[in-house]
Amino acid sequence: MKPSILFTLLFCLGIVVQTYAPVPISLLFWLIPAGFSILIKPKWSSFGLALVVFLLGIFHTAVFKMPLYDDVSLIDFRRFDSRVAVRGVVVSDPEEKRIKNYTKIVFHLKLQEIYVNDRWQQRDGKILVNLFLKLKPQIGDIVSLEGKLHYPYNFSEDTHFSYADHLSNRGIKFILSVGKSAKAEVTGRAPGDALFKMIFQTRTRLADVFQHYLSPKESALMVALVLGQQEYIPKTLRQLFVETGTAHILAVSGFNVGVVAFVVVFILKMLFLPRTFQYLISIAVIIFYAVVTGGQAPVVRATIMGVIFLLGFLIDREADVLNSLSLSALILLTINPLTLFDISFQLSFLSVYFIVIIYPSVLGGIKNVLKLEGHWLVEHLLQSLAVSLAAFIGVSGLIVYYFGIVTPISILANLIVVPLSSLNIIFGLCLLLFHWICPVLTGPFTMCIHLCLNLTVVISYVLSRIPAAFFYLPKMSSWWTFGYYGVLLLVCYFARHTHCRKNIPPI
Amino acid sequence: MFYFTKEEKLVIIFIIVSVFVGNIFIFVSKQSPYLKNAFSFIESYQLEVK
Repeated sequence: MKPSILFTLLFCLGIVVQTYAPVPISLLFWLIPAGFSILIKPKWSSFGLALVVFLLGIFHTAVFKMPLYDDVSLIDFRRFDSRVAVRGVVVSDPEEKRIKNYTKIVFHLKLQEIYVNDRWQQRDGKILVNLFLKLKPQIGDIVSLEGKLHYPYNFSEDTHFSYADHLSNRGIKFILSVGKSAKAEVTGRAPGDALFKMIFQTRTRLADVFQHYLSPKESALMVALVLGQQEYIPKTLRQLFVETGTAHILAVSGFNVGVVAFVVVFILKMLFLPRTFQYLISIAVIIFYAVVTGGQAPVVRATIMGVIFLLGFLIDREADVLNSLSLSALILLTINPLTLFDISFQLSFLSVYFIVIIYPSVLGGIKNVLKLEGHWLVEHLLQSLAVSLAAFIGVSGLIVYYFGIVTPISILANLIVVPLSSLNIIFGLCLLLFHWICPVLTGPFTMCIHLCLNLTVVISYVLSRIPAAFFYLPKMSSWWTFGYYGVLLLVCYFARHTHCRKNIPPI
Repeated sequence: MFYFTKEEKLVIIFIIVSVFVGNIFIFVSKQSPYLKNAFSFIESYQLEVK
């Protein structure tokens, strides 16, 4: 096992231990320097290093979970009426959600003050706000709201997904529901939010371009594909992608970052710019893209890996996939260790990890079974099929655990839908580019998007109608998931050794 | 048992020490109102002295 993978796993183990069996923080202040003393020995001790990394995972999580001295979560809820007034700054892009016959605006609020026990108190911390009235604040606005403060509800008992845990991992313990008759107003703008404002205005402008050229449903899909905003996608359409195992295309992920980097490098090559400039500009563009699309775990993972690969091209050194995957995991977990429990984080890292380690065996297996080889098109198809199958095997355990669905059709669906989505993203980026450079030339791109999007939806619909395309399973225990991945890793281990014995170099 | 070059060892120790020290800073600032509101604290202290 590579040292980078081992240390990442030990850091993750530290996070898990601190989450489920908390170690007192005072003890850690002694344990970590004791670990350092093993490291300082003249002979480098691998065990000492592993121990320090594990303890650092525990310590980092303990400090991260510790609330601020004036955190809102420290207020004893039972002591006051849950109807409160708050003042704070909007720190996330407000999303409009339509539920049956009403609409609500959802955003994160960084608290400044809260009216509790007949007086205003200065309090820190984040809360989620559900606004049921006609007020859409912008990011960076200071708002004054009245409403009911409550704990998050868990909507479904059928799956392991917990909405309360999902919010808690983002530092949110309470929800403020502001009813139609409640008081809510924007009282000003927070200072120093120019960068945030610029980023979110850019995203809104880009979304407006799609809305200008395409029908509402098409633009909703394009905004999700290119910018990762899923709020306008109809529920039926989303369900269609879930049932065919292609819902990952609706969220901005490594796939999108790859396509964006490819388009940028391609355009810069056409302009005959020096190689160094091509890669430096591409790095800047993918970082900007990650920020504009909201900086979720999969896109940050892909951006860090993309930056490492592009830097590798710059200095003529080949980047190692597993090392860059570990580095991106460590960076994300250092920023927020609780990201480890995010479904998007787990799916993103597991899919890439299993694609890397089982792809050669899967490709070899498919070639042995189908006995097809030779033509480049056949070779390319087999490689795509192997990637799709490897990703399916890698994420199935988690998808069954969290969502209780198995989608065998996703192996075939991804073969068709992913290339079509790549085309959609390329045409979408060209549409955005030509809208600013030369709007007259946007017509062909609009037509191509129209064709590809409709084809994607039709193919997804047809595939979802195939018998046994997907099926639901009852709630599985976490031991089942551990067992699945344990067996999978054992199979991978033996498959790699078989490769080595046959003198076939594993990747 | 892993083998690291001298430069790699230095980088690893630098990262571990910076994460540890960074966490101590965060720990102290989460505990103390004075670090979070350092400017207002100094201002109020200066007013008191005057």
